[in-house]
Amino acid sequence: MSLAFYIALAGILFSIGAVTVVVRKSVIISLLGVELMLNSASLVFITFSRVLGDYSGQVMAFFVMIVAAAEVVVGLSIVVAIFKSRATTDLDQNVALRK
Amino acid sequence: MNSMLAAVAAVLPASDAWVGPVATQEATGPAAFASLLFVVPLAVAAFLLLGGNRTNKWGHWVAVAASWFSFALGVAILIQMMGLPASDRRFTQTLFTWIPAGDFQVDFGLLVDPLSMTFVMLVTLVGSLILVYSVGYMEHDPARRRFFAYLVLFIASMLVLVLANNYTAMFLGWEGVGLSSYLLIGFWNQVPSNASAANKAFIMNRIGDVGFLIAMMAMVAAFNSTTFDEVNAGVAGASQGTATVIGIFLLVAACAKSAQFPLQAWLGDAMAGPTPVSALIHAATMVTAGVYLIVRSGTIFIYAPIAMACVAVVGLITLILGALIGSFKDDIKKALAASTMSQLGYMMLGAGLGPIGWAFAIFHLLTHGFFKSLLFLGAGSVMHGMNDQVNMRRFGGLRKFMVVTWITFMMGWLAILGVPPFSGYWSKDHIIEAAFSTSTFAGADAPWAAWVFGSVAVLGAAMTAFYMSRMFFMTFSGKARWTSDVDGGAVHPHESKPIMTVPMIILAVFAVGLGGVLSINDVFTTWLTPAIGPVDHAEPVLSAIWIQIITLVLVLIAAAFAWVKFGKEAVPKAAPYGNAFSRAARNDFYQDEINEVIAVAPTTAAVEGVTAVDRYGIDGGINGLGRLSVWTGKVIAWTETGYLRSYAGYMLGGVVVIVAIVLGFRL
Amino acid sequence: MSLLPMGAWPQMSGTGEAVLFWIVGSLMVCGALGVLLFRKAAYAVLSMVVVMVGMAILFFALEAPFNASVQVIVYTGAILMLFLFVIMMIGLGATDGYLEQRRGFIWAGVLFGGALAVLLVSAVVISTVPGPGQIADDPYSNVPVTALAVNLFQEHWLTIQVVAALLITAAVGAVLLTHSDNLGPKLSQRSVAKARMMLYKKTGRHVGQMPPPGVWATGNAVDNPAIAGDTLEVSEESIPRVLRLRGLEKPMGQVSPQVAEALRLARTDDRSVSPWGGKVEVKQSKAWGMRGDGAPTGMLQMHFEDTATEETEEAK
Repeated sequence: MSLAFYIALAGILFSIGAVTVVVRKSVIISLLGVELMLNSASLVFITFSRVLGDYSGQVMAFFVMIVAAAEVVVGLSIVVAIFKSRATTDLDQNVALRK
Repeated sequence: MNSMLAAVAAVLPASDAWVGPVATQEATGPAAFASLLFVVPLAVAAFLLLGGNRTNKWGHWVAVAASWFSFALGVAILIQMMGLPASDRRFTQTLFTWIPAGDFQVDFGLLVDPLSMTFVMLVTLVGSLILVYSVGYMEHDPARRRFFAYLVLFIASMLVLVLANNYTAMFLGWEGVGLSSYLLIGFWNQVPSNASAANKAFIMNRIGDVGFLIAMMAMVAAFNSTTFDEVNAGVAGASQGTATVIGIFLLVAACAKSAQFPLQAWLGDAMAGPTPVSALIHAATMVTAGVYLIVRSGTIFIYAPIAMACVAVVGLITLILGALIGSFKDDIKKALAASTMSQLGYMMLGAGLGPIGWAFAIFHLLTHGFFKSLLFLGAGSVMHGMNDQVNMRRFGGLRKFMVVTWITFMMGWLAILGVPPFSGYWSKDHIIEAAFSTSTFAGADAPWAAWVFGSVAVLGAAMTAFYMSRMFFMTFSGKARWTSDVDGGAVHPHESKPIMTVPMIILAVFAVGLGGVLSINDVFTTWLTPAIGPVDHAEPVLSAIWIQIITLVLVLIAAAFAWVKFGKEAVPKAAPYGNAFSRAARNDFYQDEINEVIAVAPTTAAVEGVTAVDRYGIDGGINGLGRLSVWTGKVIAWTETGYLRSYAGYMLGGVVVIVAIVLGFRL
Repeated sequence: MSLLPMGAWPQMSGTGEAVLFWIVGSLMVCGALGVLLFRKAAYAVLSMVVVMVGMAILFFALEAPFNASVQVIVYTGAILMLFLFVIMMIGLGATDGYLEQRRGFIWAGVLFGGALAVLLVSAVVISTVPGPGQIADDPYSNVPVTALAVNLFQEHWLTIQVVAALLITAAVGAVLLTHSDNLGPKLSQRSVAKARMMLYKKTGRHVGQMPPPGVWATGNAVDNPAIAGDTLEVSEESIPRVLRLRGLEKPMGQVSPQVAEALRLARTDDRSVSPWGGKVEVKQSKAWGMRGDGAPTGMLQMHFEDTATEETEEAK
């Protein structure tokens, strides 16, 4: 059992998170998918920190977590603000990118 | 080289070297004004065409005056020439430098010598008489002035053709007569078939023009010049191949212009033009331009015996072909056209025999010009009196109603039959004798050549007698088979006006006497010697007197046979079904169908192929590029959905692709 | 596993770790699939919790105890709870009908996701990474945590400061985004009425509601102008202010060219195209309220002399 399996697991979680972002209509669940992707990145960092015997990976994972926190805060408050004016979180209906 | 010399020696007189034309001198006296011969008619043609309807009332008289002026000037030059000794009778005059192109230069120059003066006299005299005839014939036509302008244009072009001293200037006249012929055949172009006939004549002449051009190109490539003198001097030293090439292509040009096999299909349809046109252009003058070309290029043919043999063979074939077609045609003008084709075959045969035959070819050309145009004018007079009908099966018994026409037509008939002492006898018999004197074929010794050529020529004479007599008896003798009111319109045959009959009478006088007069002491052949060299008298394989007797007997038998069949017996009003041969002859031996298959259909297919390549290939390619870019834009626009998650999906897809590529490289 | 061209990686520390990895890994994958597949948002967040906790356990196994703890405390305890609060705000039972999509969307997404998974796993499997395979310090002591702290604050102290600033910015931004309507005074009906009267006093603007946009036969969109009844001019205020500022209002000529032409002619009193042309004299009926020279004021009526009778005289 090599440590590569941790990386493989992280890869699987990453792709599930990517599919969640693309497929789910609700923006909150999409943000959850983004969180999943960030977590898998942290797992990769921690695994390499053990593989290489270096603490830098753990430091990196720590910072990832902080940035993820900040991003979730801002993202969710945007979601709340949008929901207050439109009463729906479905991105497809109200996006100004369409004609 | 040795074989070429042997071939040349076989054709030439055994004693002296090849003499050829005498040297030329600068023109003096009336000959210096020879350019006026064609400049005046050309100016009058331009004046009449540009003058418009204002000149309608008197334009034709101006044209007639221009033509008679050319005749008078020609007579003056002739008198001057006859006063000079034989070696001084060739004049040249350079009018202007036409094409200065560095090393190569073409001057527009004139050559006034006995051969060209013969043609000048023929063209101007016959032309002027026919112009006078046309004043009466085209009296009721509103476009008469235009007709005369074209006729005068034709006379000018023909004179340029015969007076040129180099092939390029002659080509100018060659094209000019082709153009005038087209304009005149399609004169009544409101009838579509007339316009098609004109097109057919012009296009088939164009094939000849291409031959002429290729010959000129060969001349320029080999001798860097197109003047007669320099080409004649050069061809003596050139290879036999060069001379043969030039000769063959000049023969192609002559075949098209003189309606020889295989380019003879246009002459029958050219009869769609008014009868004076047929008389002048397609009997006496334009169609003889081919013979003029061959005779003028005699030196080239001497050094290319294969080409000369081709000329003789073409003449023989056309001789028989024309006679066969003429024996079955019911349209009087088409029968006369077939007769012209056949007589031109005689002239080609004479020209193809070498120095022994050139002078007689020109002699026959001269006499033929007079009696054939006489026959055509007679036919025109008959048509004029019969409401412009042409079907001989509906004529008959006209001799009591059109006496002058009948008598003049008889003169022409006897002349073409070759009955002594009419002019046709003198010229045609010399050709038959020359045919019996050939001893070479394509440069090799061929004792059979004399028997073959001679027998075919005699056979042709007999057939000529048959179909011309058939025409004469069907039209003027027998019972009247005219159309009536229920049948196609009543006719009241009457004699034509003096303005039409007087030219016919004058031509009849020439048809009767010209041949005999010019044969006294061989004055005509001696006259032509400075231009084409001396006439070599070879011995015919059959003695001359026997040839004449056999020919005359056959001619009389054929005429008697025609009298019995078409003069005494009743002629059916509708053509009988006949057998396959007669039907084929009536259809000109399917020459149009053959031309269609050989030339027209492949050309049309090629044009269609080229247009298809242009429309679908090139245009399709260019338009396809446009459509391709539009389609590409549509495909790319399909990705612009405006949905956020689609874009997230594209990003995912892009990441997958990049990781795959990187992994692939790593592997 | 031995069929693939495996690369060489450092090994796990024993079968115990392997068993732990497989159990926790499977649970995490199931949780992630739950995030993807559950329709109710609350269930999805709870599946995410499963993933996070599993992640923390794996961090413990990977000799990163501090990260594991912070994972549980911050990620699971704070961030996912934040998600839950937002879902409660929006509606706990709110379902996301994500199975109705544009054509081929789901298949394309699943395909690409699967391809990505395959590629990443294969990239890992065929590669070779040399290394010790464990952290040199004793995992049962405090050294992993303290060494991490030393590393963090010695070598990455600037990043710590920046990240702190980031967190403060995030907090301020969240407050701004969600509480913006409380940043100005709340308008009440009284204050709005007062403001209108002040505006009338200063500029003479009429004390009334803003006119609504024009309703025309060709359309009743919000950018259609309306014509005021008293001045017969186009009323600027009938078009919403935002549209006017952005230049999106429709000019009169676009709505109805005939009306625009008539307004222009009326403005300049140009009667040249009218069917009657020239000066038009229309008799005033002098009835009460007609335009023209001053209408009779008050209750004075027209009376004609010959209709005056005794009864009307008495009524006066």
